[in-house]
Amino acid sequence: MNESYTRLSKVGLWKLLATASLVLLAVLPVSAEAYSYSGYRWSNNVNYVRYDASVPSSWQSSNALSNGRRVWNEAGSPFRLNYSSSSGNVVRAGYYGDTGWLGLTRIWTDGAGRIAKAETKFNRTYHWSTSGAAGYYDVQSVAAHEFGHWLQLKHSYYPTTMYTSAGKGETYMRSLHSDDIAGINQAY
Amino acid sequence: MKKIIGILVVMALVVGAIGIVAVLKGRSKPSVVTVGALLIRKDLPTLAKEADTIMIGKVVADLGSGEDASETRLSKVYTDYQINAEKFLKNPQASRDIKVRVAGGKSGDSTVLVEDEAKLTPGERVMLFLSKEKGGRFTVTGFAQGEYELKGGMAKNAQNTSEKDEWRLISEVQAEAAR
Repeated sequence: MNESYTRLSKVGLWKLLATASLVLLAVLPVSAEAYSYSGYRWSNNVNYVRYDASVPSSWQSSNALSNGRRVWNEAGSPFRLNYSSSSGNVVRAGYYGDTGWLGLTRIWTDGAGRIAKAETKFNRTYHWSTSGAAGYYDVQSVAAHEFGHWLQLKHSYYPTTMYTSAGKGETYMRSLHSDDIAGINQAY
Repeated sequence: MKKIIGILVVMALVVGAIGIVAVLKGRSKPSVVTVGALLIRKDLPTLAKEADTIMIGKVVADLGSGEDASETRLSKVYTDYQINAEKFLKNPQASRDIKVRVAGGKSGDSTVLVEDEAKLTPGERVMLFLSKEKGGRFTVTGFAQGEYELKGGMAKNAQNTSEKDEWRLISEVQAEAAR
């Protein structure tokens, strides 16, 4: 009697666990987020960038680069990327040839999961505009995208700032999509 | 006096142990360089037009990593792969053994991870749009945009979430390559 009671209790316990799991699965929200984050992060929430002399002055005077980083500063997380002429993290521009890439960001990590240094290169072999002109690649859009890589956000397959590729005259990457905002708020 | 010597010995042992742990920790976690880029979008007709050859084949071997001085690819660190061609859809090559170089890999103690490059895995069947470089070596046209994984009759591009039938992709590519 005692043994069968114990067996019944065990069966009851499993049923209870199975029911609880099903209820949890039904109640928990299914993540539909498309952003992807590498897991590497800056030690501090406030970091700095400088623009190399190779960057056209019009890209700075038009605020195309600073607007590209400002969108991330205003995304609701404590992360800030500010300008400092003495920063070791740098944005450059050069004529790298018909490479197939518009902007490229390299992030060095220290082996303990922390970001040690960042560098972005713009390829001036292609034709650029700071006003979103048709037929040109948009500086501010590419800057916003590359600064997203500074946060270690990876590419999205949906039309967000972190989308994988760009075309001429496209400016939609200038503004963060809710998915990009979710990404930075997960990282910081 | 003995006590002081004892304390000094213990302190030396502790400092030594901390040093050894720090060295081992540093060795066990090599640094990583991540590379992310914004690519110029290339649709299928553009890829077919720009590629020097288009092939379907199987990735048979990882030939190892190295480093070159080129700034044009996504990373100076590269990995070479050997692909065995099953079929050429554009400009057939004399040899069925094709060597393809992709950006990223291991160099010394550091690993370079390149998000936008084609990801070749030995054993995988792929369609590749290839550009011929100096020295006869190939790279993937448009980086990850120029690679389709072929599996179970379906073709999937790493930069696109949608899949399409393999036969449909082949016929589209053949039509574009013939233009």
